[in-house]
This record gives sequence, structure tokens and C-alpha cells, in this order.
Amino acid sequence: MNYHLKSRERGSSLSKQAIVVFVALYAVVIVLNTLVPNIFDALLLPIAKPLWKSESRVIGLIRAIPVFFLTKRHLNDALIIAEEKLALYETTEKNISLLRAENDALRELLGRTPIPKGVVASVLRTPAFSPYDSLIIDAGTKVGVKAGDLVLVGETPAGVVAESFASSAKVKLYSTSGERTPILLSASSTHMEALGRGGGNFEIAAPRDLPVEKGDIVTLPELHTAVFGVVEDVLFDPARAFQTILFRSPFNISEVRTVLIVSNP
Amino acid sequence: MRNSKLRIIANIVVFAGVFLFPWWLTFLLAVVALFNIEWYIEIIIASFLLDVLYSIPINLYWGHEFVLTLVAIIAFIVSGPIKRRLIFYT
Repeated sequence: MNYHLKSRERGSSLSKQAIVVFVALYAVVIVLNTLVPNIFDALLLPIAKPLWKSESRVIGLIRAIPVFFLTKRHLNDALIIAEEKLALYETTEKNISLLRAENDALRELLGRTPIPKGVVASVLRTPAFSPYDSLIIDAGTKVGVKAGDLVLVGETPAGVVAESFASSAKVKLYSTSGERTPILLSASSTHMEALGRGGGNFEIAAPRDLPVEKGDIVTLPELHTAVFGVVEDVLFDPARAFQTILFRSPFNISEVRTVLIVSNP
Repeated sequence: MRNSKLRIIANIVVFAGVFLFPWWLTFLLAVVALFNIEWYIEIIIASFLLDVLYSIPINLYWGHEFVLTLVAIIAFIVSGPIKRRLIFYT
């Protein structure tokens, strides 16, 4: 014998009401965000920023705790190693300065201006925290950061400023999944389009006969003096007319602490 | 009473997670709360906050900036019928 399930009917009508209410609220949010772009971000980011800053300070303090338990001998050994490294870095820094000056001189000869100076910003949130693979930095319109500005990690282009607020900004990385970036394969001087795969990884669909090897350098056409990525693997299927080139950024985006924002004229 | 205590604890963890944890961990905790607390509407609010904090228009989501909120709304609506059909909740 079958029994009529009244509770199921009541439940389904509740779900219908819930669907109507939530769809209406969602529509309101979308409309508000379209009419007044970033209205919610501008309200919430100033609250989140001090939290993130204090979090990084607390993490720094926690990391410093083991130092109190180290012996004098251990610290002395660490100091000697650090001094040796510093001496090495000082020599390298001098070489880099010379090469940079030479590079600037050559760029001037070629009619290219030296790499412009920009604003250094701390990274508040790395893509690991974001469902959108975005980077949040602590510099905004107050220091001249605006949407479209180029974001560099060292001298490597990492992305562009997507949204800028008073004292923070969101960065869209070139490696964000689904993003397409024009690139230049240095070995063959071939212009191609790279597809972002997230986390600093990229993919290129290239003709099968294009000579590419692991370790080849990838650059951006407009900034071809800076390394954009290094080829990690080449997937080759004899049945296909294309080969898949996989490359990644020379830095680990999750470990980046500061970036340079260069104004986009 | 037990349910309200659980709700308060879940809210503290989930809303702290919005600002401090990776997004997937916060969302996972919210989903766990959704299946353990009646009418856990906070999952939608937490997802909305995650969207506001981190969203940028990207090609992967066709430029939409409130994808996680939409997923949370669907999860909230679907959780009702799922709970009714699971023997665990009877």
C-alpha cells in the first residue's frame, strides 16, 4: 500500500520559495555590482586588509620563536654562513648593476626606453586563497595604482591590475585559467598564444614541426628582455597536427611577497 | 540548544575562514555545516564575502564575479531534498 507523503510536499514548496528568494537576491547583487562597479569590494577590503597584515605579523612572530631555543654556537655558524653569502651577493649585485647599465645603454641605442620605475607593493593574498586565482596587493589609487597597470615579480611580468581601490588592488595573473596571452618563443622567435592553466602554468598549442626543447625561454613580445617562462615539457602525439608545449613562470607565485607595479601609459 | 551552539561555533569558524583560510577549506567547512545545521543560510553569506574579497572577471567563469555565491545558492537549495532522502537525517 502506498502512503501520501505530506511532509515531502511541504518541503518542496519551501524549496520553491527559497529558490525565488535567492534568485531575486542574486539578481539584485548582480545589478548593484553592474550599476556601481566594485561597491561591495570597496566596503569589505578595508576591513580585511588590517586582518591580513596582522596575520602576516603573527606568522612572522611564530616563525621567530625557534630562534630563542638555538645555541650560541649554532647562531655563530649561521652568522658566518650569512656573511659569506652576503659577500657573494654584493659581488653579484655589482655585476648586475654593470649589466643593467649596459642593457639600458643598448635599449637607448635601439630606441627603447629603460624599464620604468614603479610602486613596490606587498602581497596580502596569494592565488592559493582565491577561487579566482587572483593576487591582492596593498597598494591602490592613493599611490597611483590603476586598472591595467603591469605587475612584475622581480623583472618578470606576472599580470595586470584588474581592480584598484583606495589602498589595495586585485591583480589578474597571466597564468589564470582560461586567460590567453600573446608570447614569443625565444629559440625560434615565433609569436604564439599561451593559455593560462593556473598557479603559474601555461600551455601552448603549436605546430608539430616547430622546434621546441625543455628549458627554452618564453618572453612577452613587448618585453622580450625579461624571461616570462621556461618550457617544462613538450607533449607530442603523432596522431595530432599540434604539439602541446607546457611552460611555467620562473617564480613560484605562492611564495611571492612583494611585486612591482609599473604604470601603463 | 545544541543546534544553536553548533551554529555559533560553525559561524565563527566559517567567517574567520573567509578572511584567513584558503577559499576551498572555508567552502568545505560551510558545506559540512550545511549538512549538519538546519537552514544554514550562512553558506551563501560566506560565499558572497569570498566572492567580494577575491573575485575578478576571468574568462574561466565568462567574466562573472559571483560564481561561488551561485554555487552556494544551488548547494543550499539542493541540500534540502538531499537531506530528506538520506536516512541519516530521519
